[in-house]
Amino acid sequence: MAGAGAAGSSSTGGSATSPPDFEPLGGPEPITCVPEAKGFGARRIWRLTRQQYDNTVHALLGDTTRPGQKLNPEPGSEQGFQNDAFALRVRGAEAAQLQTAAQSLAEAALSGDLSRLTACASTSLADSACQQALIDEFGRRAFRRPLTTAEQARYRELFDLGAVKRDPALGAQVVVEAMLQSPHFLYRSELGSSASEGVVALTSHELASLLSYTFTGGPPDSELSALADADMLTTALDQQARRLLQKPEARPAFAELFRQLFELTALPDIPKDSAVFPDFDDKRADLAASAQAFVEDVLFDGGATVESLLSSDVAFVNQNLAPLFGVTSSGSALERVRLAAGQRQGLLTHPAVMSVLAARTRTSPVNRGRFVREKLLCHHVADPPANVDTTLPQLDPGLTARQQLDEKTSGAACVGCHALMNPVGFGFERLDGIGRLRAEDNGVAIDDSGSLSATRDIDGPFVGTAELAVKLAGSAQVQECLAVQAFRYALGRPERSADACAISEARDRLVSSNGNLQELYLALAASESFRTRKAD
Amino acid sequence: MRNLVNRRDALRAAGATAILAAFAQRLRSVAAAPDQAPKRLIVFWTPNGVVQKSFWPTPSGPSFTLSPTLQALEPHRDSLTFIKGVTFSGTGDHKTGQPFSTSGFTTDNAGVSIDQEVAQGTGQSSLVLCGQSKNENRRGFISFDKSGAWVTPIRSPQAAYESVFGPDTGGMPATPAAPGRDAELSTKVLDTVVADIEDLKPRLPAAELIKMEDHLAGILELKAKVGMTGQPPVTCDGLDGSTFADEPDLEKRVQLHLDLMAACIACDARRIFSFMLAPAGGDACNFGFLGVSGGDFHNDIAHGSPGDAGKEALMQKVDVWHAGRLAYLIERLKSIPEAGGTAFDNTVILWTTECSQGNHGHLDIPIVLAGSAGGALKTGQLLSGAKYENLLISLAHALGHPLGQFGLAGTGPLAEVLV
Repeated sequence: MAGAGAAGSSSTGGSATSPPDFEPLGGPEPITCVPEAKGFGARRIWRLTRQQYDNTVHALLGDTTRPGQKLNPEPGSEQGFQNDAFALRVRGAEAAQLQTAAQSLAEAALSGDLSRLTACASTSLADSACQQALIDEFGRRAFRRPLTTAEQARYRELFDLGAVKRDPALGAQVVVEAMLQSPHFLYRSELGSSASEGVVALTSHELASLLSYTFTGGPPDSELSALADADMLTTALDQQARRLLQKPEARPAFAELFRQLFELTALPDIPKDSAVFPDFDDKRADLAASAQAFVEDVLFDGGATVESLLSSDVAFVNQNLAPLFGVTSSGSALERVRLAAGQRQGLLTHPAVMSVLAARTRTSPVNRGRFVREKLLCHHVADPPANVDTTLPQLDPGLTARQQLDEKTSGAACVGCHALMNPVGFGFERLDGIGRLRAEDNGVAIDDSGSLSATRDIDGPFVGTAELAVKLAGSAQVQECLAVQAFRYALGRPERSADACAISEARDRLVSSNGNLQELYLALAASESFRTRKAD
Repeated sequence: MRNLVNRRDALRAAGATAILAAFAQRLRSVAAAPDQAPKRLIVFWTPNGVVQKSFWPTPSGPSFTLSPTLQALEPHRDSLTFIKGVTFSGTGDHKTGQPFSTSGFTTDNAGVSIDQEVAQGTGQSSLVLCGQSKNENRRGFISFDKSGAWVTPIRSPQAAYESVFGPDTGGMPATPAAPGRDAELSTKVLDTVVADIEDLKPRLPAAELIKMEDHLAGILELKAKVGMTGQPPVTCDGLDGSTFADEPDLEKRVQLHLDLMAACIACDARRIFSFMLAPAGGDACNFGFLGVSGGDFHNDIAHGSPGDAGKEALMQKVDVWHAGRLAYLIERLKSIPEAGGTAFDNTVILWTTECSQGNHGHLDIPIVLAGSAGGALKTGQLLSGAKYENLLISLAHALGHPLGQFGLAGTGPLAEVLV
C-alpha cells in the first residue's frame, strides 16, 4: 500500500505559498510618502463578514433573525481584525451554513411581503413580465450591480423550473435562495474592468459597495446605487462618504473598528474564575454594550477626537455595572455619566477592555503593556525566541503581581521584549482583573508607576493611567498608529510599504483636523489605495 | 453510556432521513476486503505539551510499558506507536510550534496542514473541530488550506453536526420541505450557484481563484447530498442529531465532538478530521472539573510546572485526561463494525501538540500514533528521533495520498512507520 503510493506519481504538498503580504509600517520611525512608494493592493474578492451578511439580508429582505450569527466566526488577521479579506472564505462548513440560511431566508421572504422582492410580486407574480422584473430587480440589489444577460437567462431557467414543479411562488423562492448563495452576493468584487499602466480602477458599482460597506456595514442605498448606475460616483466620493457617515447604520459600523482594535471581540469568551470574580458572567453583555455606547458617543456625539477616545471622563453605566465603575446607578438601561476626575480615562481603562487584557484570576501587566505597544504604538513585539529554554524561576507567592512578573521575566532571553511591555502594563495595576479600582494587591499598596521606552515622542516615566492617557493622546506615534490600524480595517488587509502614502496622508488629515477620527476615516476613503487595484 | 451509532431496528430505520440514507449508501459492504474500506486520518491535538518525566513509556522487550499517565490507553497498547526525540526545529513557543505541528512550517499562512492536504481529491472536506476556540494571536488554528489560510475550527457540536448532516429535523427529511421541492429543483439551485462561480473564476487572479475553488468544492459537497434516497440506513440509523447541542461545558463538549467524529466515520460522512482540544498558551481552559485549580492553567500551572512537583502533579492530571479522551475516541471507533473488523482498523490518529512541556521547549515533542490506517502503518513501536515532517508525509502515504515533500523540510516517508 505504502510502497505502491511511494512508487506512484508523487505530488508535492505543503510547498510554501505566498502568505498575506505584510510590511509593517508605523512604530518609532515616522511613515513618509515618497512617490515611488505609491502602490496598490491586489485585485480581489472580499467575502461578507457575519455582521455584513446580517445587515445585507436586513436591507434586502427586512430580515431581523440575524442568520449570519450561525456562520463560523471569522478567522481574523494576525493584526487582529476580523474582516481580513485573505482569511474570509467559504469552505464546506460555511457553504452548508450559508445554504441553511439562504433556504430559511427565501422561505420567509415568500411568506412575507412579496413587494419587497419587486413591486408587482404581491399581485402579479403569474405574469411573465413581473417574473422577469423580480429576477432583475432583486438580482440588482443582491448582486449590487445589474445582472448580465447570461445571468438573467440562468435565473429565468431556475424560476421556470420552480414554477413548473409547483407555482411561480416556488420559482421566486428558489431564485432568492440561489442568489443568496451566489458568489456575486457573498463576496464584494474588487476586480475592476480594464488595466491602464498597471493600475485597475474599481468599477462604479464596486466602488459604491466598497464605500457603503466601509461606512455603513451594509449594501449601497438607493442614492448611492443611482450614482453608480449613472457612473457618476468617482467625482462624488467624498460627498457620499460624508453623507453615509450621517446615517444611523454608520454608528455601529465605524465603532466596529475600535471594538476590534481594543480586542473586545474576546469579551464574550474571556475566561474568568468564578471564585475570584463571582458575578462577571452576568456583566459581560452589559459591559459590551457600555463600551459600544462609549465608542459611538465619542465618534458621533463627542467630537470624534483621539483625545476623547483615550481620556474622556464619560461612561455608560447601569445598576449591574455600577460596582465595576465604582459609581451608583439604578435600573437596567445604560445612563451617560461623568466619572470623578483622575479615576478612569477613555476606552483604555473601560472595565470591558481591562477584563479582556487580564487573566482568569488576576491582572496581566504583560498583556496590557503588549496592547499599548502593539495596538496603539504599532511597535511589533517579537515572539519569544526560537529554540531557547524558558524555564522560570520559583516565585514567592507572597509577592505582588508586579514583583512576581519582574522576577519571572528577568532572564536574559525574556527581558529584551518584556522591558517593552511590563513597565507600560504596570501603569494599569490600580485596575484589577475585571477593571475595578483597587488600592492593594496581595495586601501591599499598589505601585502603578510605569514608564515608556523606545517610542518616538513619549519616552519616560508616568504614574497610573491618567498620566499614561495624556501621554498617548498627545503622541504623534499614536496618531500615526491609529491611521495604520484604520487602514488595516478599512482595506481589510495588512499594510505594505507601498501603502505609505495613503497612510501618511490619512495621518496628516488626522493631525490637521485636531485628531478627528471621522476625518481620518474619510481621508482613507479618498486615497488611491482605497479605489484602485494593481493589475495582475 | 449512550451509544449513538449502533444499529437500531428496522422500524426506526424506515423513518430515518434521506440524507442519512445517502451516507449509508456510500458505506462499504461489511463483507468487503479490508483494503477496500475507506481510510481515515484524525489529528488529535492537545495544547501545552506534557509533563515529560511522567509521560513516556519505557521500553520492554520488543514493546513498551505505558506510564501511569497513559494507563487509559493500555487496552489499545498494541495499536500505538510512540516517537521520542522529535524536534520542532525553529520553534520555541506556542505560536511557532502550533503551525509546525500540522504543516511543518513555523509560521501561519505558510503552507497546507496535513489534514487539508490529505482531504484533497477525496471529495470530502476535512472536518475541523475544537473543544475550545480562540481566534486571536494565531493560537486558534491548526488547520490551513492549500493557500495557507486558516480553517476555522467549529466549537459548537450542534454547528459541527449541522455542517455535516444538515439541520436536525427530528427524524423527518430535511429536504424537500415544500411540495414541488424535489431533488431536481434542489440540484438546479446549486447548479445555478455553480454557474455563477464558473463565470467568476476566469476573472480572478491566482490567489483569489483558490477561494472560488474551495467554495465550489463546498457547493459540490452539498450537491452530492441532494436527493439521495432509496435504501434504508444501515449503520447511521441510531444517529440522533439532537444529542449534538451547543454545550457550554468543556468536558461534555469535547465528548460530543469525539462522538461526532465517530458518527461521521460510521456514516462515512467524513474521513479526515482535525480536532484541537483547546488552543495553546494563554488561558483557554478551566480544568476545575479535574480538580486542577490555583490560577490560570497555562500561565500559573503549566508554565511553571517543570521542576515544581506540585504544579507537575496538576498538569499530569490534565495529561491523564487527554490520554483518556484519546482512549475514548479509539473505543468509539472500535464499536463501529466495518469490513470484518472495526472502523478503527482503517484509521490512524495522530496525537500531537505544539511544544514539549508547559514552559515551551522544542525538543522531545510528545508524538503518538494510534491505529494502522488499514494495515499501512506498523504499530506497537517505541521509535526515536524521526523527522516530524517526514512522519506527516508517512501518514499521507498510509492514506493512499503519496507526497514527495511537505512543510519546509519534509523529504519523504519514514521507512520505520510504513509497512
